[in-house]
Amino acid sequence: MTLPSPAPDASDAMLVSSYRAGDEQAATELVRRHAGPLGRFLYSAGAPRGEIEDLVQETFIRAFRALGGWRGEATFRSWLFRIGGNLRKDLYRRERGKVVISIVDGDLADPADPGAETEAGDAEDRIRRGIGSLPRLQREVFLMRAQQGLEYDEIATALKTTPGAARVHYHHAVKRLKEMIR
Amino acid sequence: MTPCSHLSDRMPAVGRGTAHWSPADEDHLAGCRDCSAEWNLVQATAGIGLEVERSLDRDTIASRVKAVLESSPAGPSPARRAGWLVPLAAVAAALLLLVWKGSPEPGADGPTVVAASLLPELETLTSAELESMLQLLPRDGMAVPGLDSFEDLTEAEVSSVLEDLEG
Repeated sequence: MTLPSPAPDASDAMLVSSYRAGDEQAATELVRRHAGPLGRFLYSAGAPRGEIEDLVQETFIRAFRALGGWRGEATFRSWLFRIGGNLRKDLYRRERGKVVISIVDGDLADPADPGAETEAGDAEDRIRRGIGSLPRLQREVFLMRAQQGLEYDEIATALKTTPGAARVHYHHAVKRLKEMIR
Repeated sequence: MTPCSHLSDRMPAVGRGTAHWSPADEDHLAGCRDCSAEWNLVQATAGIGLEVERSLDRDTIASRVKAVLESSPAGPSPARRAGWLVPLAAVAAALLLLVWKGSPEPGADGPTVVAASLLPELETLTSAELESMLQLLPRDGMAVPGLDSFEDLTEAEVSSVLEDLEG
């Protein structure tokens, strides 16, 4: 028997329940929904561009295998970010502490406006490098807050800390990044 | 709440277009170098990786995830688990010893020495392994003398502890 495709507006919690009940399409929908933001989060955290697709894939595999650990306190996406952050950290350990900022075609200057393009790319690389060099909690809190717009309560739940501590991490990250990119 | 804290709290929402600055906010931003620098940082961060996000092939990733899950639905193999259980057990035992030794006499540096000697071991563990190790520790044995829980610390003290832990 073929299960019906999940509704596109189904909540993450509904999709997780469907997947647990055997609906593989629900897993596909969860990947389609969250792979992009997850990839962006990992890239912004300093993961090399060439590793992003593998990291995203591995994050989902680990997440689906550990779905019992997600009880809905944190959003599914912030829970994924936490797993992805762990994987990125493990990759960093394997690479012996080197954060590689890759250069791909998209980073190259636009011949029509090489100056502006290069300047923007430089600024982005400086910020990425700065974010990548932050302590883990500062890095993840900063990205979840500044890039994903999550509230401190939600960040705290995802990262198993307190909202007050998350706020402190955020402000430390901002202070360090402002010094780095000055 | 100071005007700087107020603006800082609203920056992510304004950066994502779900909120707007009031005229008073804009006046403050124009005159405060700190807030202006933070706002530039938040705006720049909001734009990082958009191209990466767009370029990911979600369908291919979904297919690969599905294939892997179907081929090996269980967790890590027994061989892989055994591979890190031995060092994990050694680290856990050493940490239990550290906890058991309790508070040092004034001027003694026993636990500090033990903890310092453990750090290289901990560095070799992955996050999953570290989490497993932490679950082995007795929660009531982690008490810091004179402190019922980390919730009792002020934000400045939490910050100081976190700085020490994270380096």
